[in-house]
Amino acid sequence: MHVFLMVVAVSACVVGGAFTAMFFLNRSVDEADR
Amino acid sequence: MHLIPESWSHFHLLVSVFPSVGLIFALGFYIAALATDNETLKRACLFVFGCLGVLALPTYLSGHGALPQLADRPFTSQEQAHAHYLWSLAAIAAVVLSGLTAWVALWRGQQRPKVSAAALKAVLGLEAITLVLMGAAAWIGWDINHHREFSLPTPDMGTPTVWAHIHVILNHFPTVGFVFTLFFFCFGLIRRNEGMTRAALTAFVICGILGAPTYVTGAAAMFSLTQPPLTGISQAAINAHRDWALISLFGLGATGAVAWIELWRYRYLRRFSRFSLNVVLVLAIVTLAVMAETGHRGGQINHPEIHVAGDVLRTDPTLGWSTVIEQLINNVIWFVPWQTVHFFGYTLVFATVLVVCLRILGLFKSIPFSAVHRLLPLGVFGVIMNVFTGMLMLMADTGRYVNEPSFWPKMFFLPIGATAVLYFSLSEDLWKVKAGDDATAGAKAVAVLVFASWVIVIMGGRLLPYLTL
Repeated sequence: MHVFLMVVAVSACVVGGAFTAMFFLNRSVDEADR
Repeated sequence: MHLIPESWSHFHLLVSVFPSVGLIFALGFYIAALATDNETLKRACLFVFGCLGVLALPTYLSGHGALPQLADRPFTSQEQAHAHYLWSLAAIAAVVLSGLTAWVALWRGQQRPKVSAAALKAVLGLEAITLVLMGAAAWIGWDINHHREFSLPTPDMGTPTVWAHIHVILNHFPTVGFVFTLFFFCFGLIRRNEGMTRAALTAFVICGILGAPTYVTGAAAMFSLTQPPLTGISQAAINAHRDWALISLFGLGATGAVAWIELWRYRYLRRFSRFSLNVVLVLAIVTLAVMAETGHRGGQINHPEIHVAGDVLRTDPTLGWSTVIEQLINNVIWFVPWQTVHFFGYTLVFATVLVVCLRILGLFKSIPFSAVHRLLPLGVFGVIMNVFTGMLMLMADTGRYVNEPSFWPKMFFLPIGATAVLYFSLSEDLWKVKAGDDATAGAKAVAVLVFASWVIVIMGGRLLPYLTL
């Protein structure tokens, strides 16, 4: 159970962080790309 | 203050890498200047070539002063020292001559809008000859001190000493390269020269990529020199070095990542964000300071001649962040989550590389290249996640990983695949590929190289538990 929770927590933090960064990065060039 | 050399040998170790390894980076910037016809960058490179010529004098004097100190050391090859001296004389003559030619070309071009093309070609030719001579001198020079461990037979089940040799050479590239890149970056910021800034950001990314193989070959070197133990090599001194090396690796990665993001954004915005460039500058300065300490600690492992009275060397081999992380990550509860993130990382890398490469190779022609270019950060985030998690996993069982047959192809193609991806962010020809257009043959060749490299990297990693010697 502990391992399962750790997998979910670490993955959510890292992958969630990466996709949040991706979201803001894309938004910063959206206007210029139109 | 302990980084300031107090002996000729120490001074020679520090200064000699600039006209040799540094020249490779200066030449890289020079070729970029010639290819993009960036006059400011050309002049900055000519100035740097002249400075390298001036550095020949302290390099020669410190080398001459270091010879008697080396004679007192056991394991030092006097034959190699003599050969190094002779090759160095030729290399120093070449670096002075090419530096002088560069400064004359710069001086003559002062009143003109452009430096003469013939002079630029002459400097390029002379610097290329210098590089060959420097390479020969440096190769023999490195062998003077490291002759003993490089000629050791590899014991059964032991790590080959060739990795120590490669590490001794490779570690100078991100460190010395960073100094030169920082110079061009600052110069580009002051002169507000976008071409020079772009070239420097690219070099920061390359240094960041080189950080991974440097760290990994260092880990392999540790095992080849400590198992079985070698007289004079201390595990505690190695641990002190690799603690700093880990921070250097993350510093190089962070600087490279922010630099790449700015290169990617530049494609759309056609200008750099002053804030992001300042972030790169701060990260680069901090990373350079950390790398200086890392290099000094690395030198202390096998260069007793650079020890000074005030040096406090670590003696307990169980101390250090690296040993703590090793113990922690060996626990399933920490290994499995990072391994899971590593798998997420390579699915991101593979998907991005597949889509971008297939478009370049001629599939999905209705999509312009600029559309798939938008996806590149996904792959880069995957690489960043995997370098971080990969290093943690490596630390769980370094001795086994570095001796697996599928590990070295993985580490060889990782920097090749990552560097080749830079072409996708920088190429003007690719950027102009509209819907329905074909990419050039050169771009297709790079796409094949990138795809093949990442397939080998992923397969190499997956085969680690199953292919054993």
